[in-house]
Amino acid sequence: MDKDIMIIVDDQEINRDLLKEIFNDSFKILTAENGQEGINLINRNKSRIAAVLSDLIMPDVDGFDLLNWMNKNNLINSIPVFVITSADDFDMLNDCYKFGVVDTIAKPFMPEFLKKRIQNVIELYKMRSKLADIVVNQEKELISQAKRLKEQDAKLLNMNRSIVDMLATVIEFRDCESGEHVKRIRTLTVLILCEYIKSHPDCGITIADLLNIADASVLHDVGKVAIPDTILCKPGKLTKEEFEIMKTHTLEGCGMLENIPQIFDSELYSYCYDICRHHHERWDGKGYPDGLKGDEISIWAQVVSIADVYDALVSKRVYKDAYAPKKTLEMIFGGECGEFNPELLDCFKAICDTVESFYNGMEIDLMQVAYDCYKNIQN
Amino acid sequence: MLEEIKALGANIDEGLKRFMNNSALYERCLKKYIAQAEKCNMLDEIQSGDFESAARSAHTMKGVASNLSLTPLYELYAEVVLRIRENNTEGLEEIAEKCIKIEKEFCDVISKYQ
Repeated sequence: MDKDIMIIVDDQEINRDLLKEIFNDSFKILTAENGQEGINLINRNKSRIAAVLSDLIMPDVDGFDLLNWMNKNNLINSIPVFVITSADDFDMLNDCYKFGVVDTIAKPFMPEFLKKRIQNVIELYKMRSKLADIVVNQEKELISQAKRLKEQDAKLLNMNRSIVDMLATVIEFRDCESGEHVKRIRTLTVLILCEYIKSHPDCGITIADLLNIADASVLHDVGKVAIPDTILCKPGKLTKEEFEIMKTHTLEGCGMLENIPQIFDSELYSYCYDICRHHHERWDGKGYPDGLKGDEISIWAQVVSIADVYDALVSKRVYKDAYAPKKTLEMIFGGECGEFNPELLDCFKAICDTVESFYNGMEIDLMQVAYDCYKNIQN
Repeated sequence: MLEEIKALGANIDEGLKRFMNNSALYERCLKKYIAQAEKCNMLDEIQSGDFESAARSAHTMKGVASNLSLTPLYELYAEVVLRIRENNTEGLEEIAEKCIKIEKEFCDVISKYQ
């Protein structure tokens, strides 16, 4: 808005008339007889005021009260105030500057000089507010750019998610019986990992990591698409040779992922790769394909291992019947499915009731689980 | 009117400059001086010993007189302010009386043109 108003505050009519005469051709002049009237005028016209010219010594509400009010209301920096006074007391004039007054002008003044001094300052304020406007606009532009980037980022993330889901669906179709298996793995992974994070708050896994790991867990068996039907869907025990071929699904999966790294953001990709490759490693080093041992295996690959084994045991497969949950736990804790990280087994033990309910049809909101987990840590 | 107050010691050249050679405005403001002077109780305040109020009144009149280039009045009012500030109140009443007397001369001239 154009700043076209000048406010003159002086208890002497003669002084007001003189100042009005000087600035009449440049501004719309509003006059006040005392500080309070001045405050009212400023309050009503804030955005349109080019300058305030005020006397100091006035009855009741004086010039200092007015300055005080302008300071309290954060107006002193946006509206230039000139004190016009016949007071020659050094301390008093000094106080004016402390209050943020732009200039003090002694009475009697010469109109030509007064006009020049005041107009110079008004120009300066105009430039300053123009610059401030430019900065505000640039800031707005930056914020909207950041917003666009964030939207694109979310779109990409969504795309990654759909690609993961698509691949998981492909495995479902291909893998004769483990249909819902990959989806259950996601839930088990989140439940176990959250339990682990709760007991290891310093493990460094952020909520973003957790969500990436959950997505990556879905793809742990992606390499199975490369295994021949005769082996993948064989009802009954595999021969030694067949099992060797079956074991290659870990490396086959990595080979597939290596061909499409650009579609995953780097972190999701590294979790996918790691889980795909190492979800059959065992704590004692007797797993495959790399024979990693103990902490050499990432915690997320270890979590997916337990989830994978549990789900395979409690589900009916072409080669076996479903085991009861209790029996399944006995087998896992008894080491019948290979050695697992004892700390992770403790975590699993802590949530096995929840897991059983989940298999009996209880819905689990994974985002809520993740949220509660991190809320817990913060407290 | 301007010539007459010049004879009483007003610096009308400076005054006209201050009023941007707008002699009508200058005269209009001079007429307002009368009301201003009537409101001023400086002499009473000095006589009753209320120097603080007297200084305030004199200060106001000093400003008005200076803007109108009523030099003799400006000087006398300034003298009153200065003396009260310096706690030098001896002979103050005489100065104030002199001031009021000269002021009356100015006002008499101005009021002829009301």
